[in-house]
Amino acid sequence: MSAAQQHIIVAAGDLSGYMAGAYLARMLPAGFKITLIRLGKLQAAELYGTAHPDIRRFNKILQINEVDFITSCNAVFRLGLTVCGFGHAPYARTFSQYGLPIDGNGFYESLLANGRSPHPADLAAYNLPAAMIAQGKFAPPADSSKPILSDFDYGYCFDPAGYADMLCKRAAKFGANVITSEDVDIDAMAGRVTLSKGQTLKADLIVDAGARQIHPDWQSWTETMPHTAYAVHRPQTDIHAKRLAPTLKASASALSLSYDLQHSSVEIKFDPSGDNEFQTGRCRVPWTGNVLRLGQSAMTILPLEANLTQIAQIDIERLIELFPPDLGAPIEREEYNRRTSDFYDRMRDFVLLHLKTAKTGGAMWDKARNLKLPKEAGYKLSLFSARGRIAVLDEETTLKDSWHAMLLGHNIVPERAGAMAMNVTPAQLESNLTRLSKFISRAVDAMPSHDDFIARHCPASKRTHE
Amino acid sequence: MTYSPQIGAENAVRRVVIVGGGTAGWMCAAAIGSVLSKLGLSITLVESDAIGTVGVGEATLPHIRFFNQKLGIDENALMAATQATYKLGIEFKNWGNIDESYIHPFGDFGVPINRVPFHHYITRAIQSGQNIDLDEYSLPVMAARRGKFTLPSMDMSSVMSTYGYAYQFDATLYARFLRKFSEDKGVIRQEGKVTSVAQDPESGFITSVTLESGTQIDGDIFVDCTGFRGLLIEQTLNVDFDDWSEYLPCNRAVTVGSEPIGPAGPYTRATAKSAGWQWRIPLQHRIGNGYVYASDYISDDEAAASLLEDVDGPLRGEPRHLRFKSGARKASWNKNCVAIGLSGGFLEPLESTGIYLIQEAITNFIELFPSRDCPDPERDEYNRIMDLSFERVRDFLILHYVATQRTDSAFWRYCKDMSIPDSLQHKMDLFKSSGRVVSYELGAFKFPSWLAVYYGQGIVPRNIDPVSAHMPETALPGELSRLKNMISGAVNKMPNHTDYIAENCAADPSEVM
Ligand SMILES: Cc1cc2nc3c(=O)[nH]c(=O)nc-3n(C[C@H](O)[C@H](O)[C@H](O)COP(=O)(O)OP(=O)(O)OC[C@H]3O[C@@H](n4cnc5c(N)ncnc54)[C@H](O)[C@@H]3O)c2cc1C
Repeated sequence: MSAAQQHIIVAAGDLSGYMAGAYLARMLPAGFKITLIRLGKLQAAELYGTAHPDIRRFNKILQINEVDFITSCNAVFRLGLTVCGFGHAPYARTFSQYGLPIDGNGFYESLLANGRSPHPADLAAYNLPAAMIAQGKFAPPADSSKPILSDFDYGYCFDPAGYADMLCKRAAKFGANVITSEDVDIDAMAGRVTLSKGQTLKADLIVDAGARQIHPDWQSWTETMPHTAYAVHRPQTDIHAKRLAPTLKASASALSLSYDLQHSSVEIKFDPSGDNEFQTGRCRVPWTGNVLRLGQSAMTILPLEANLTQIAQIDIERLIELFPPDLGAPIEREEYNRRTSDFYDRMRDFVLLHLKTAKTGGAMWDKARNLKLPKEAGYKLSLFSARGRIAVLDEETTLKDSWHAMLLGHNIVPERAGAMAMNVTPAQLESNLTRLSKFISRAVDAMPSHDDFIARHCPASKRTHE
Repeated sequence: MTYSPQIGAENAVRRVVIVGGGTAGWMCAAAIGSVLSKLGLSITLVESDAIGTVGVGEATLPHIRFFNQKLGIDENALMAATQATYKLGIEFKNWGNIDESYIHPFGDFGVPINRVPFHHYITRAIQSGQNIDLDEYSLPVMAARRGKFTLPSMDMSSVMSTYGYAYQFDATLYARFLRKFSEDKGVIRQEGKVTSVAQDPESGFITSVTLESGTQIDGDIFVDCTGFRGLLIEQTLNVDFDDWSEYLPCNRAVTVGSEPIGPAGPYTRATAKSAGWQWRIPLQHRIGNGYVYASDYISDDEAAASLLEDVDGPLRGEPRHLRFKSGARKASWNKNCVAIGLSGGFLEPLESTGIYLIQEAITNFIELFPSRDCPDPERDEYNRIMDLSFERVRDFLILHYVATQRTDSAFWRYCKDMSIPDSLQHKMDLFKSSGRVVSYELGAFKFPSWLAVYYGQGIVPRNIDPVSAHMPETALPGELSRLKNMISGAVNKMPNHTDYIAENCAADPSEVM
């Protein structure tokens, strides 16, 4: 490592930048100077308001206390995602799995071999968090390894603006210089960032997280994800029976994602007349020279897994995992780009397969279904349609069970999946299902309602969020 | 909605024909016969006493334990029946340079500190001039060096859970064990040499094989386990072979057994020599030895002489010569024939991957077990996975040859300077720069394996992970010695390998071959 101090500037337009600023300040040792620039109003805020369980690890590293997080961010607990309008019935994708293997055979295969419905809508009784979502009950997973009771995980729906404020404080505590600028001008060649008041900063690495710079190497996905704008509504201010999962909804005329917070709810509607511009695609090379693109600058994708926060976190952790000893000519950058590109393409595949397999009526969806799938996505779909098997590719982060639930939930029924599970007899299956659903319903009965749990442990004060 | 995605009776596979009764053939028969027992398959295995098997393949990888477990095979009984010993890793002697030695263990080197993998702290200590021996930070390495063994602990917080193990066994006895197991499951063994193969004129699917005696065996699926011959996959279906000799130039072996002298160690040894390397695999009743060499650099006679020079006990039998080629079948599942074992590809035996790749093939084939028409999706997925498995093992093997400072023979000079696949070059460049190891989903050798070979053969990263600098310089020696002491304390308490065998899985001395 060179003796001179290295300077990293994070231009934070969207939440990913705030996350990066705090995390880099925490992880990089003395010898690195971090400047976190808050770029005016938080961009694309609502798109980031749904977090996967990974965020708890992130907060732990940043020494963010859970109750502080929840109360400062008006947060509620999240156990998965409710998906409506894509198949014949709404279903849940959870941070856990449906059913248990039966005598070494896969759960879905065992159902199929016995002519039973594998549609996740019919299986909520066999997935603890799905049952909790259905009944609005919540309790955290058991700490010791108890089967089922400790086998699920939770994230949050939260207010990204509140989180951004917390992250700035964390960043400052870990030694970052936090400043504000309405916008910035990035001169990549010179490694220079000019603030709106004209001041210029030199950096060894510039993290562009939603700085709205023009990217010459942008690969557009608008052909296959033709949603060019979205609108945000906040329909309610006081929420009772707060949902434990955001709702993704497809209807003939619209696609929307909505979720509850403690004292408000949010609806994001993808609609050409919305006032937030939205151009899907990704940077071909996310890290070029000394500029690394993160968040919306690196990839803009339909949030059909409601995981933009997770995507940002994975990128930031990967950056630290590979942080180059010398920012000059790093092979680490090449590796970051290789892995990140694959990661983005796998996320893209997951989103495109939603569109390809949606059973939703309407001209908009007819058009979407006609899209030409990229090679890997087509491969995944054809293997699943044939065998009910998910091809495991490198850099994939989507849980296998989410893939299963998604494709089965959209009524893709594998042609030959049951062969392996011929061993499972109807009686064996029946007794297994009965035992499991009894266990789960007893566990859920014993849990408090989501509202009560929050009221008891982590109520957010109402005033701060109006 | 109705759900009956079953394969119709008219399209279900009924007859599976396995041609070949080596390790691959009998592993297939045992696995298909037990895991798919409810399908009511008729399984026939054809083998020819006149042709025989290669009869080598004595060192394994830990994965084999899961294969045997899935089949419900009792470990101690299997070990006793195959004269097996435990294997904690492979010792590589003279690879990076003459007189150097390291062990590639089945286990970890330390645990991450502040989310930074442990080896960065080792690099830091090396850079600051401390005299560091990586061996001391791996429990299986220390246990191997001291001839100790016991089963790993299930308690994940214990240092005794940081390793795995495999077996060193007699492959012929393993095949015999599996033969009995398979026959008990209803597999039919047919002795005889296949002399002709019939194909459907339209689809090219294999319909039957005919033996010298005239017996015809019909089948829906044919598993080619005929070894290097590739009787079905190559001689009948003409599927090409990707030749990787330019990267892995060893193409012959000469082998011989010897009497054990001293207690059997819980590890295999691979000693680099002037035109290849020599293995030493201790079993309960004998030591397996073999010189694997490149025929461009040494003659068969010279190789045999060199082998004998380095065998440390009285010989058992005469040296045997074998020829092979490293590479993989372009698509080892073609039409209704899947080539498993040497017929599907072979990577020279340096990291004992032969049986592992057979197991991978069988597991995937069973998971994708097709209908009679062998649809494309199943076949493509199988071939995709096998291609990746071979390729990733290949890169790992090449690393052993290219990461050398040896220039003492033409063979080593070739290896040191040979051009290598881009995929490996990238992995090495990344490691040399800052100690990062390229990760992947599928593939036998993961993070700790790459570390062992890199450090063991003198590739130490130029830089450490910057995040590791959080630990003050002064705290480093304390951290390192804490782990070192924990490991040596745990190894002290382990029983001797040979005592452990005597107590749990000693072979019946009357059955010694
Ligand atoms: C030098 C060397 C060292 C090795 N060391 C290891 C090691 O340490 N660890 C490891 O895991 N692997 C090792 N291997 C690989 C291992 O030996 C093989 O993967 C394993 O033995 C499988 O062989 P096979 O069953 O495919 O073929 P073979 O053992 O060659 O069996 C072929 C079978 O096909 C039959 N057959 C052939 N033609 C006909 C015909 N026309 N009609 C009827 N039957 C026929 C034969 O009779 C025989 O039964 C090593 C290989 C070599 C060459």
